Amino acid sequence: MNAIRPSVLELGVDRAPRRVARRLGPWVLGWLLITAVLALASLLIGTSSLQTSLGWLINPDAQTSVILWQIRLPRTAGAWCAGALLGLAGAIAQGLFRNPLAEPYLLGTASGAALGVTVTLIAADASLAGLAWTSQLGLTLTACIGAAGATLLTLSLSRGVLQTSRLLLAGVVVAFLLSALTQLMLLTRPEIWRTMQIFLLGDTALLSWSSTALLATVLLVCAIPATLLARGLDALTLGEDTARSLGLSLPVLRLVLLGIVSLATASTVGQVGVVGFVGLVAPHLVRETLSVNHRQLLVAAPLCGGALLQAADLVSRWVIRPAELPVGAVTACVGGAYLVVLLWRRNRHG
Amino acid sequence: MAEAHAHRAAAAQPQLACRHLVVGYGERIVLSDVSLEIEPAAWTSIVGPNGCGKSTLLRALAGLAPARAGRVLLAGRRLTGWSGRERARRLAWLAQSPPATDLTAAEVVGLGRFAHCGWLAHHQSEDDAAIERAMRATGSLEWSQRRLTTLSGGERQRVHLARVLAVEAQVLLLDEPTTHLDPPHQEDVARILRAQAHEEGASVVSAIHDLSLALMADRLIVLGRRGLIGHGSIREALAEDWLSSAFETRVHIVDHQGVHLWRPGLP
Amino acid sequence: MRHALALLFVLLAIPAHGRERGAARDAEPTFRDDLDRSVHIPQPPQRIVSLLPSITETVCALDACTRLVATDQFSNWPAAVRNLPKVGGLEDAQIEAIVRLRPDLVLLSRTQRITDRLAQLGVPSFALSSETYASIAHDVRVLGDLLGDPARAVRLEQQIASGIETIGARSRADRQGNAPSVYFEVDRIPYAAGPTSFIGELLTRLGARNIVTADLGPFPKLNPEYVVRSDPDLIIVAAADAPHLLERPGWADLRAVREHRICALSRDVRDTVVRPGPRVTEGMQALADCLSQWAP
Repeated sequence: MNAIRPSVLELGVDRAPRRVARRLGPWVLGWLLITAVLALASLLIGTSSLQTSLGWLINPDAQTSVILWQIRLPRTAGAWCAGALLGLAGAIAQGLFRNPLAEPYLLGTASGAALGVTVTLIAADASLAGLAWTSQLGLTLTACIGAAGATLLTLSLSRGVLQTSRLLLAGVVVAFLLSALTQLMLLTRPEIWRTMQIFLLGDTALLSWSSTALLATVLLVCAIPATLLARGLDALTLGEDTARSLGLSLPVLRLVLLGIVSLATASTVGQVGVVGFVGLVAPHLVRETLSVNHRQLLVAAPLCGGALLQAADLVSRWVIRPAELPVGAVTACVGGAYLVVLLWRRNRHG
Repeated sequence: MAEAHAHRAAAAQPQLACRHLVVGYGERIVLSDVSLEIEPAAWTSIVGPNGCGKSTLLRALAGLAPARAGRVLLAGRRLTGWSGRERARRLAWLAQSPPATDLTAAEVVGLGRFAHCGWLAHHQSEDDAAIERAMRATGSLEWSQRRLTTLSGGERQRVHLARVLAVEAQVLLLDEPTTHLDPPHQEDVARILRAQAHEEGASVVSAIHDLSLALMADRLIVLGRRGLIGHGSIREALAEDWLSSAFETRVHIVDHQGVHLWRPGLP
Repeated sequence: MRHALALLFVLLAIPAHGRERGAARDAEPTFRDDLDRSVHIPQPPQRIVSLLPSITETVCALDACTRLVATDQFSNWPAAVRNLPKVGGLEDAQIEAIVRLRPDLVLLSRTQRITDRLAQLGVPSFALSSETYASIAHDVRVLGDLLGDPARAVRLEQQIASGIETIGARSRADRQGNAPSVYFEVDRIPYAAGPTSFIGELLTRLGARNIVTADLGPFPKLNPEYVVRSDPDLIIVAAADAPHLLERPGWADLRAVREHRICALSRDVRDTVVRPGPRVTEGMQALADCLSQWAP
């Protein structure tokens, strides 16, 4: 991955002082184009054949327009937003922990969200009162509460944000503890297993316009401060001491960025479950194809992650249509394969 | 900062000093009761055997290693009293071997301006000028658009040096700035540091392994295993033979037409 | 939260949004479902999607099988429903496929995710808990009202009740006062059916004694040692698991295993035992047969 690129080698300051920055433009356009194509395809792909869908598009009636505009489109839009959030959170996490294998769930957010959902389902199952309570609250909110709780637990275990190694360790411990707790609760309530299974695999099937709106809002709320803080991540690549010597307040930077990562993952997990690999792969894909600093990375990784999850959603609808796969299964297969290719290429280059 | 009045103000009062400084990691006390005043507009080298605390002293002076006791004074004020950005505008620090980064050389040097322009990274023309000056001074301008991971160790080191120069701080603290460099480039670095001190009026402090190179500085801080051996001009240091006490063995320094050279004791 | 969401939704929604609000409220029949929602169903539904096998069976037992347009993938009885479109499971139901079928009612269990989404899309749904013994009669009654044939429902309910009563009485008489201890295995994990579960209730009515105590809950995960220590008179397992009981550590010495007092239920028979639906009498009879054939 770090092999010398001829195109980069040839660049001199006089010839192209802002060459790298200028490359972001076409790149962004390219991904937006892919997104648009996928969005169009999403209108055509579902339980019906392509021809039928095309017919609906040209000549819709009340029912088919519900399918096109209230089911297929919000699904692809929501998947894009969720993927974008995961890509953003992954890029931040990798920069913050200076570890290319860091991923959005590493603070225990996923396990926390899963625990929240499990508790909700059990409460809903236990009594009508519980049911009324949970339907007021919604699975999304309880997932968010669980994820936020997990983050706080991680932060308190690591005694603040001073040491990344302690944070990572605390995140692993919290993830283990909370998922063990979730599994324990599931063992006592086998009847909610299936729901949890789907939640833990990740699933875009039920995305609506309201969940899309929620995800889009969170994306804006997260992406803007994150790109403003991108220079801090740049400075961190030079080492923590150097970053501090440059006048950066690391605790503030870490707290804000960890907050963004938690918010992004919590809301994503709440809407689509624990979709794996997108947050890990999207930033890698960007670095592979674009020479980037963090500001560019934080713009590009969401675009890439969004298109990835959108594509995975389409694949999940297409492969065994009219039935469908959980989208998490698709991302795990594709993402896993990509990482294997990456590993193999690295080995070959020595 | 290069203006005459800044120079004079700097001459009147030491920019950086420490009083009864104690620094340690965990159980281990590395420096105990060190008091120093860093001469302004001069280049000071820190020398001493491995593990005597050269890096620790630099880190403590830079505010990166917390003091167990005593204090570090920057422009007469306790270091901890400065905000991060204010401190970083006055004091730049270079790590011994900064990790590899995918950023381009220009981006790395641009980070040196963080203390001046902050989060938004909107480089004013003065920032751009400072970046260019620093890169020109270190001869790294021609790689400005290359990623650091594609540069050799020596080229990388010069980019990092440019980053420190781009801060245009009154105090420069450099930990082994000549590692990875071939001898001619080592000399270039020495020339740059001397120019920073003599022409820009900066207080330059560097830990340097190579004794001959270290002796090109104006002043020496000599650390031994039991703490500070001495702090003064090169002449004092040689007259009182601090180096031999620091290394606990005879250190031969020869004077070759005004240049001090270390001569190995082997016949 | 809900209000904020609704607001966002309105901001982003496209014109078709109006139909997501469901039918208008007027004085027509409104039913309260097991999610405690009031569901407005103006006239007996004619295009029904059922997402739970026991509900499918009850609908068909009420002679409304022809009104079903699709079921979940597990519904397999009566034979007529096998040819209907399958729209996934309860938790991974295919929303688009359901909407395409234009149902006027979706019957499902108490599952939050799907009901919320269907409500957004303006598809009426009705939740039935369908888990316990009591829910059999409840489901029959409620579905009878929904389908517009309460009289048929009353007949079915009585039929089921009297069937259960007869089978239970006969079985208890056969036992002559000594209650054989029974271990009913739901899954080889092992999960057992406790006395508070639907299956446990049937066993109690048949005069059997469950080795699991009520305080362990409806489907407790047991320590295999618990079964060995209880040394039940009769073990009821899935046919697929029966041959492997010997391999479980310590189980070879169980009285029931040594004396081959193992009742292996085939998949079809098991369906009737584990589904709280109209075929409960068949399932109960199967359990009664187990008891009379194998119990001492």
